[in-house]
Amino acid sequence: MDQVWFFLIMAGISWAAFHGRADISGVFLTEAREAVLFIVSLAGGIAFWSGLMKIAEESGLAVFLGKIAEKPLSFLLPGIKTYPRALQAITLSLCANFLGIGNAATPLGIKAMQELQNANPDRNTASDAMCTYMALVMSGLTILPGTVLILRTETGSGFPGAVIFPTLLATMAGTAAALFLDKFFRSCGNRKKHRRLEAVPWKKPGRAVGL
Amino acid sequence: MNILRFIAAWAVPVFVSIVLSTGFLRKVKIYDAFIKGARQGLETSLTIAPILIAMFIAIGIIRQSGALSAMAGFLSIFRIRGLPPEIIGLALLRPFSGSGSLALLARILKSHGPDSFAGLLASILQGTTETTFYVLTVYFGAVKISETRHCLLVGLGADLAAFITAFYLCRLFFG
Repeated sequence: MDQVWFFLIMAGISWAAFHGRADISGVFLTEAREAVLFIVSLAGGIAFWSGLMKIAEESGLAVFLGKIAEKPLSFLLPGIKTYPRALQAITLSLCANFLGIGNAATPLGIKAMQELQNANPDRNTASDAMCTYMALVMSGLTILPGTVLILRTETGSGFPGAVIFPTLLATMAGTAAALFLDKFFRSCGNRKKHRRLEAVPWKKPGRAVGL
Repeated sequence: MNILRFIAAWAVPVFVSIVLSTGFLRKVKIYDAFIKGARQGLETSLTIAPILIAMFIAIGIIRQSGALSAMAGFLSIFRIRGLPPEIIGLALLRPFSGSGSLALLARILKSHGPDSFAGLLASILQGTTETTFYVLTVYFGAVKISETRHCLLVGLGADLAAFITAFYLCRLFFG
């Protein structure tokens, strides 16, 4: 992430300098402000969904959903069964992604990452399970592109829903590609560095998960 | 279409009802649990805030410097049959900024019409993948991991696969 962030900012500054665009000096503060306004506008929604999900967790709903998703998730993330809390957190976050609830998906996804981090033998590096989970999330799992449909209706489309099916197919293609690439890169890495993170037995958490 | 609207309107209230009822019937202290969870949600927002500041700045610099438009302009030299140049800009922006690409989509829909080839393709592109950089930085930032291995490549590869698929599907369905 260090390299990516450095590259993005320096590339932008260099390009602007080369083309004499001094107006980028205001970007730092403007964007910082936008970021804070953005998170403030989201905070209420995130708090609401986090509260609701806590109820779901304590009522056993999460365990129930986790049991349903156990088989397919075990196939994708070997060893996840030995860590039920991660299984439940991942299942809940995937459900939120399917339904397209961004405000629920983000805190649930973070919770899933925290549970995976508890089982991570190397706390500074992404584990195999994390990489596969991220492949799923990054590729997009939304079934109904709600915002797009609203926008299409507003701009006067005769058939706003025309894009639903192609979007679904394209999303599936993206997810398939993500999982394939993830598997591919992981096997490359294993041969090079002999780092089989998934072969390390999942340890029970030594301390509670907190933010 | 009306079924979709019906579902969209009632999905959340129904879901809330299910969660609250399940909790209540199983003798969960639902109010306390909600407060506790909401508090964690606020802490999550606080954790994410600095990560977003870093990301917004990086994306903002890239956008404002004109580097992104230059990239789009350069790529549109490769005239792929039937690929409108604004779509390339959207495809480049999508992994970086969800709201930015949404604004770009709105512009494309208004200028080309939502049912044109460009409008349809742009709509599909917007809906198909997540904002890769946002997800990557927020999720890994929240657990303080900076060594993300191949995840960025996987995310961008997925975006590319989805976009290419979207283009050919659009050609197939809408000619």
